[in-house]
Amino acid sequence: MLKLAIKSLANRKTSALLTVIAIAVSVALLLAVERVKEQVQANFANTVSGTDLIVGPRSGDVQLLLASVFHIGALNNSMSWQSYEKLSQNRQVEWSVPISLGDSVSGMPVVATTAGYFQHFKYANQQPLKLQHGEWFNHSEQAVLGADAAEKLDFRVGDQLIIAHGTGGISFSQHSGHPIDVVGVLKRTGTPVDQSIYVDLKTLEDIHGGETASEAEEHAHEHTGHDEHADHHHPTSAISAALVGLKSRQMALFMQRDINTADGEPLTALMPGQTLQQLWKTLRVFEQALNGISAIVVIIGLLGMLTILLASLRERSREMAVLRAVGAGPGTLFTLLVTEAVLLTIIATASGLALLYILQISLAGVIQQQTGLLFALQWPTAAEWWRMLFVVVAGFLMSLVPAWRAYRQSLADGLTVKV
Amino acid sequence: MAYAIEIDHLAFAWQGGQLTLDIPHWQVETGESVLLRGPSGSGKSTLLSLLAGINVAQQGNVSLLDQSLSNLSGRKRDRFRANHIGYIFQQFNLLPYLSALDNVLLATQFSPKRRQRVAESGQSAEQLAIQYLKRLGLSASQQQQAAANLSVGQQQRVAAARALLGAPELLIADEPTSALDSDRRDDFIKLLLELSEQNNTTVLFVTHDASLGQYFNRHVELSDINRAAGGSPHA
Amino acid sequence: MKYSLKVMMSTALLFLASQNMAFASEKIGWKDLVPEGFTPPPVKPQSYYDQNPEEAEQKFLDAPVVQALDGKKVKIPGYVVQLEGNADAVTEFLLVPYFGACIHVPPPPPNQIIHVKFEEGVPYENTYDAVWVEGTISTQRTDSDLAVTGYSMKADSVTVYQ
Repeated sequence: MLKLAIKSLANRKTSALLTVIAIAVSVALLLAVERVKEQVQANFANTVSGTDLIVGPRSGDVQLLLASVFHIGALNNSMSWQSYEKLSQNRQVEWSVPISLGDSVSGMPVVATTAGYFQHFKYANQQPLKLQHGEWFNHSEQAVLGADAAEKLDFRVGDQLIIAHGTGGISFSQHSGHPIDVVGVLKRTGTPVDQSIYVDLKTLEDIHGGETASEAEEHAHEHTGHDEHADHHHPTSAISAALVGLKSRQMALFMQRDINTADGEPLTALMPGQTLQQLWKTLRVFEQALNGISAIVVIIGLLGMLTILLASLRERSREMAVLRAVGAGPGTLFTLLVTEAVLLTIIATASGLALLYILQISLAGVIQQQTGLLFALQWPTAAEWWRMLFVVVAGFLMSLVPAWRAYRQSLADGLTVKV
Repeated sequence: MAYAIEIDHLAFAWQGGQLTLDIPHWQVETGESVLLRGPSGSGKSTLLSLLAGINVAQQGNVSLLDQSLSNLSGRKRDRFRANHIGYIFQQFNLLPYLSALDNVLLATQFSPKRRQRVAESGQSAEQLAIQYLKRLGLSASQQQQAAANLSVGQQQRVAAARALLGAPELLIADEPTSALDSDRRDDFIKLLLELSEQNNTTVLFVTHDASLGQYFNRHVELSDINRAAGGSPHA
Repeated sequence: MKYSLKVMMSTALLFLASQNMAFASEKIGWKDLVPEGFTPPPVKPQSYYDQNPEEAEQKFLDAPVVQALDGKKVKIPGYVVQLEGNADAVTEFLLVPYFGACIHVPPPPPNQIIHVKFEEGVPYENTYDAVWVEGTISTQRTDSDLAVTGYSMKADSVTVYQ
């Protein structure tokens, strides 16, 4: 039966091939939606751990989270150093780390922070940051690179880099007067940390303080007061956000409200876990919409197969009569058609999976460069297997229609068929 | 068992039509070769469909090899046909995408009895099939050709081989030579009957051409045995 | 003979029943987490506390726990506020009595929050609505007035609230 089905399909190579291609592409789409969702979720979920609050200038929760931790998007304003100091002195706060964003090196984000970042920042399951080479910076004019940043920019410990203003790939405003020494490279984390370049808070302040030596001299008397003041009281006047760890995690809800409703500078405090939850909830709607659409595309592909099978019945009525003459019953013809359809569907589904892997392998590099997301190569997940099963079952159900027609037709035609 | 075919008080009409067949009595003995003649539309195809077990008589009895077909379910009739009847159409007998050899081997695919008889012969089905094809004049390369690439004459010979493989007791041929030119026609009939005789196969050969009667044991006119005048919708 | 057999069987059943009761989780509500007879200080309007955050904090922290619950196996429904999670599920969270502990609603006090750890993880889809959390609850003792007393729980199972 199987051999017969295969030879029968091979006879109608063109239409069979077109059907396979159509279904394969739709299957690749169906699987891709699931895979992208899984990978994005995995990437995001593992990025921050052990941080109770992220505090920044008044903005949306998701915007603040994405900008401060994922370096996606930007913050339009900043948080004053005074607010940060007040926060870090709150008796419920165990530790706090300020961060400043906005500069880059060849498009890779520069994060200005303190030694506290290396101490307190954790990812995945409470994993701390570790150094692959060298050490964390201990004064300005020093930088530590994430694993991907070091690789992409081809920097090693001992090299020098120039920070550019803004986050674009090419900046026309470089701080070439202040070359920075690379003193450390971090171990790979699989998070946006890998794409980042870490410098001391003071570094950015120094850089933005004066473009060139001569300019600095010119404005020296203007800035002297400011700089002295800066050095004396705080390394910088404003930061982008602060990561906060509390003495008691239960206090997170209270502290969040406390900061959000405090008088003075308008700030936003978010709980990273809670914000991610909200993010998933929002994305879920998109995910479901995409799932719905790709399911429809699969159905369309299968309908194409149905059409081809139905159309072929007319030509094949002679075949059916021949098979009946040698003793095949109408039930056998039914089975033959179902077998052909299921065979086509299985081949198409396997091709779709292969297509997805090919796409993933070829695009993984680009995706990582553009978004920092690591799309890991792995065997299909349970969810993906279920989707493939859904496609095969749908193909099977569709095949019942032409199979039933063939059954009835052969009963009616018997052995006498007009050709 | 004396009679390969025995028909008793048969009456059959297609849905909503007049009686196509009204046959009080007819017999064909085992090993006989019978030429059944009748003009187009006289009900030949209807009779064949009843003998092949595709349709069932509304009244009366059709028995093949002492087995009454009216008592059998559709499935059983299909099985009976597979096991005991070799069938040849006028044309387009073969599955175009299978080779000549694979087409012949279809004979045993649905029939345990034929497989059994092949096994008893001591040779494999493939070997026997090749022998038949060779005897019917197809070269080794032609045997492997997709059926679609063979000439009509060659296709009919392949059909004959398929009908004979596994030695079914009854061979029904529905105008098998109508599509052949006269040279080939005579050769074909002679060969078919020769091979059938080897297995003591009963042959029922249906045609509109009366001149072929010389080759057969008996020549029967359908109008002699059939009282009804109505034709079949498939005429 | 029959009589003594009956006695033995009933004793055995009672014994088993009591054992079962010890292992089964007790369903509790959020009110059970607040000691009976505890009268909170007079409530001022929320805007007052917004103006005086120090007082708000004091009022907030003045939330005693029920020590008797320490070590008990309980089952309590609530909403999940994620602290830690992985690619598919939430592994550490705060369980709160109502949804939306955000800017417009005052946050629940420490004796109305349970810090839950659940290694197996609650799938994200399940965290958008209420869940049942079953596990061993424990209370922390206050050493200094800076540390917060509160409830924590090691969860055995987290299921969707029907």
